[in-house]
Amino acid sequence: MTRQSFHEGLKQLNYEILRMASLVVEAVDLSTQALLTGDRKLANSVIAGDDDINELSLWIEGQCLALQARQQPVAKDLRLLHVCLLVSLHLERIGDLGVNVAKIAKRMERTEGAEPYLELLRKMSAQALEVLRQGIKAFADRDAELANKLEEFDEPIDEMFKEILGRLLHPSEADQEVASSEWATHVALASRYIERIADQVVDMGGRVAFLVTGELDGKYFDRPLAPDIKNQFGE
Amino acid sequence: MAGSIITNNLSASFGDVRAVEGITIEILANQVTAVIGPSGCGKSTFLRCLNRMHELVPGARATGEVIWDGRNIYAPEIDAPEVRRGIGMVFQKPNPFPLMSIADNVSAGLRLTGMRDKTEIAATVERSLKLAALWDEVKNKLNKPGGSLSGGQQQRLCIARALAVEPDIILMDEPCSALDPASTQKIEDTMEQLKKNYTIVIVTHNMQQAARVSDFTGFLLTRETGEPGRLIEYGPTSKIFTMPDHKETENYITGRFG
Repeated sequence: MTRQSFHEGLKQLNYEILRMASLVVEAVDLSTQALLTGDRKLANSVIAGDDDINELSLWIEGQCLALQARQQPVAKDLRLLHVCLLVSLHLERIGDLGVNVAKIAKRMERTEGAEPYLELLRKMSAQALEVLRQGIKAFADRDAELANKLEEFDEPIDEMFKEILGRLLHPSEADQEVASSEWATHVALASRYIERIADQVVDMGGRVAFLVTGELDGKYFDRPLAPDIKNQFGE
Repeated sequence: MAGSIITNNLSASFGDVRAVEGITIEILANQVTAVIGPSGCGKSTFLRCLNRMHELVPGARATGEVIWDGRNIYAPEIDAPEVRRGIGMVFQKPNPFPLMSIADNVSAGLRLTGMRDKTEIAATVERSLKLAALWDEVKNKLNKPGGSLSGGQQQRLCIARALAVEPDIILMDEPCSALDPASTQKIEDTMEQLKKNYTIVIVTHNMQQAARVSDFTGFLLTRETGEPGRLIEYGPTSKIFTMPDHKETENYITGRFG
């Protein structure tokens, strides 16, 4: 493999990541729609579509490995391969979380009085989808500033997740009449999955920032292990 | 105790031609420092300035300072051969004395320093060959000629010869470019051991080798044909090969040059 075809290989890798990302956005979008509307057909399409996402993820992993083995990449090429591998793992996880949401969409019964919960799930879903889109944009544009802002965008999602859990754990009298424990479990899990989707994007953002700045969590990547880490194992 | 080198605005020329210009760099003791850069950028010239070998070429001269443990080696009162004893050099092509025995190859420099005691010489030969990771392979044929060894062994013999006079610093100019991968690995392993007691500066075309063996890397570049080579970037090797500061370094190490 020549250096030129190596650079072509990197371009294709970048392209396939973006293709995978668009499938993952669709999976999250459709699975949350299915959750909110109870559309089982839509939920099934998300579950079936996950195979393509997994296939792309494996292809990307294989390419990252093959290019590292054969080209000894350095500098921005090395950072790109490292970050592509991690980003594809994050995206694959997000796809799986979409499948989890879709499975709940198929099982969750429509219940009277569920509207306040559905409203919160709707807002969470919209915000999670927005965080995901921004995360992918940060990768595509190599935008470290945007990547570092994702955590901020994630905060309202965490708040809504806490609010849903709080309501389920301490239901008002009106809520108590509608919420079967099975239904409550579905709502709790769905909100948890959506919250995790956004968390995965935030972590992905950390990798994108590294791609641009060479820093992990705002610090130079090649650093000594903090000495207090050992102590927690009671050395 | 290994030494450090600081160059201060070091430039070198051959006649009217400037080969390198304005190099200011601090080479730390007990570290391996790699110098990389495209052909003709002045890496070897820079290296040869560090022990006053550059001036051995007719018409060649160096300006600026090279401070070796606090002394400028270009100061008038400094004796150049003494500098070359303290800062040894290993060359690209293994250059043992082919007909001289293995033991005599190693001790050749010692005799020049006036060492006469045979036991002392034998002990130094053994210690140097051990440091160069060649002892086990040659201990039973120390009287065989140096030319009978393989290329990789010859290069380690040259390293042993450089070590015998107990230098502070070892300069290596493309020490593995004529060697096969197995011999290369042995030399690289040797360097890892040697840096406990010595400071090593290595010039290499092989960027993977620089990435593997060095702690610090300097990148030299001639920006335009006919211009002297300049130091573009110098820093910890893992930084240079992951997140270089300069676009020119990035382009060179990722193979996007020209």
